[in-house]
Amino acid sequence: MKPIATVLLICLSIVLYGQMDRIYIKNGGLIKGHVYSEDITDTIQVVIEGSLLKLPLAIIEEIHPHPKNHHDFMQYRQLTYPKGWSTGIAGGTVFGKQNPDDATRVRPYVTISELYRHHPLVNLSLGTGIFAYRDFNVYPIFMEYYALMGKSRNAIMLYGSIGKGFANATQENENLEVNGGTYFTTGLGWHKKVGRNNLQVKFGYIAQRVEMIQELNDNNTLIQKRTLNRLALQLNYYFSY
Amino acid sequence: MKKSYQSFLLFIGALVFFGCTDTCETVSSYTYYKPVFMSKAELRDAIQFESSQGINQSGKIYFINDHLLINEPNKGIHIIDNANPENPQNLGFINIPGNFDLAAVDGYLYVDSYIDLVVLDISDLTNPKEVKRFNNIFPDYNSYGYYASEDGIVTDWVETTESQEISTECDGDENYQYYQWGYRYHGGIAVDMLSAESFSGTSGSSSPGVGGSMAKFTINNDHLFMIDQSEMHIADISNPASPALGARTEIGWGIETIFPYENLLFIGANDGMYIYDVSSPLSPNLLSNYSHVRSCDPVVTDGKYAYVTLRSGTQCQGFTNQLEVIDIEDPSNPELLATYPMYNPHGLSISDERIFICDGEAGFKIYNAGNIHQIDQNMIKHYDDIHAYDVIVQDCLVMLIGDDGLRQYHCNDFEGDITYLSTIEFNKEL
Repeated sequence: MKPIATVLLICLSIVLYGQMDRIYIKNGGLIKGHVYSEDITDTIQVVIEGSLLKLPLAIIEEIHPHPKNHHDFMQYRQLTYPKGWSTGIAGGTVFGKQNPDDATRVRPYVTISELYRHHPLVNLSLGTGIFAYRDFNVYPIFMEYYALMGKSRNAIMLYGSIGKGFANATQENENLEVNGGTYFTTGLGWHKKVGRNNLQVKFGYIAQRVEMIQELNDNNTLIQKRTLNRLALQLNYYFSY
Repeated sequence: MKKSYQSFLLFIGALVFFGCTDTCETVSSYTYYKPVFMSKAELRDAIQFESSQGINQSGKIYFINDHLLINEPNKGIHIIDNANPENPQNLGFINIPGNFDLAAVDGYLYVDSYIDLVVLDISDLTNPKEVKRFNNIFPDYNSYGYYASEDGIVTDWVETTESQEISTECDGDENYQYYQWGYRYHGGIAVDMLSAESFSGTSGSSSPGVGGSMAKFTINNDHLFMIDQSEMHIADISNPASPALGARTEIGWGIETIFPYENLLFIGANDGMYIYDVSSPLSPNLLSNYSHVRSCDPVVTDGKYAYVTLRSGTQCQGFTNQLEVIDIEDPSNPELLATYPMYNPHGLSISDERIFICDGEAGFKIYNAGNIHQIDQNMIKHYDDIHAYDVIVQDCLVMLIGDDGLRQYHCNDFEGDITYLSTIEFNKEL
């Protein structure tokens, strides 16, 4: 259910984002319209509710053309979303309880990932990491998606990831086998870009499945399938090429 | 703005404090051996002659009219034409569920089939026919896990693994306690922590083994003697096709071997060797109990002396390895005459004053027993490369039974070498 919810959320964000081109002005303003331009040099023309507006490229920070809108002029491409690869490293903590009566436990984790930025709404990365729990470690391999709700320099972000975790026990016990399972995250964050450096602060939900198989003797085995429901606070740094 | 910022922080703090809680599903997976039942109706309809098949395990071997009847424990009887011992022919197999013992006379074969005694007409060995059956003659049948109950007869045990959800709590301690003191019992073997560990610690497998039946058959003076657990059943077989069951005689627990000689029965039991006078077969008379020997000690006799091999080993729990010669001229008062050290003696046989002993890893030995006080000085032959656990000597034919098969040798008048004739292999197709 949770991955489906993420997909629906992403679709919703795309729809809400509208089908208009978005022009971010360096003074912080946002103009939504249809970029219409021919033979331009240092200006673009934007159709806004039937009116034509000329904007100098010098005052524009970024243009996010809508994918459905056709643009065959190249002059402002340098101002569109910076497509390309980034390498990221993240560190954070997860919060949660093993049982309802327990105190909330805080455990650390780190991840690394390789990101491809295609569109403010389409950023995909492949990553792995280590979550250090008390009795076991989980090593997820995941694919993460995030969408920026704004310009690439400074935006609210929506993220989600899905993958598979591998696990091992922290203490050697030949009668205990720990296996990983589904890995899932979703949440909101804030994205900040300075030059090639990107910083993200994320807060969300993480679910990790682990299976602990304890061989009590030759005839009895105890299998505990656990879903680790955790809240996660994460600081993420990307370097863009 | 400041207020909403504080509210947001408060919301995050509450989330972290109350947090998310793990969800768990704890499943117990356990393995046990489940009995496979055969109904009594199925049992009584199962006997049939089948084409020849490989011998996986040898039980009792019976020699009759140039034919070898080799019991496959719990399954039936292989029929081997041994008219030419150099080239024995496997004629077929009689499917008899729960068969461990047999005795034959005058074209009739007496077999146990779990709780029943069955009489087969084997005048044509390739077409045996069931002519009579005594139902429930061995009601207390039990052979190491194979038993009769209201559900039928246990014919097999299958390893079964089942899983069951036992908890949704993530706290492991309670789960472990449950198993620490819990157990599983499913109409078969109860497997708890202790027994499961002892199973694995001792044998490496908790599978019930196929052991020898408690039923032991022998024929003497037109009577069939059958021992089941602690009782001896006696049947008058003067009309072999239709035995007449007589009364039961209480013998005692732990009976392993029964050996007839003229009017005597030598019964090996846990606590010694019983000698019965069966000159009046339906009223056996206990003459003596020679307590020196143990349950697994094979006994043979030539009527004057009884020869017993004692060996050390886990099954018999003995500590000595020796051959004993017991004077039984007065069966009421058996006396130990001589003792000879051996390596690890198993089965033995006596024929024409020759003693044949399977002496474990030390090999196969043949002694002249003409002078029972100097048997060790009268070894005729020692084959240290022949390893067998039992020997049958019939006329001049020496049959040695080992794990790999039954090997036949010619005796050469019991002087010098025996000559290899053939091998009936076990665990392989003939």
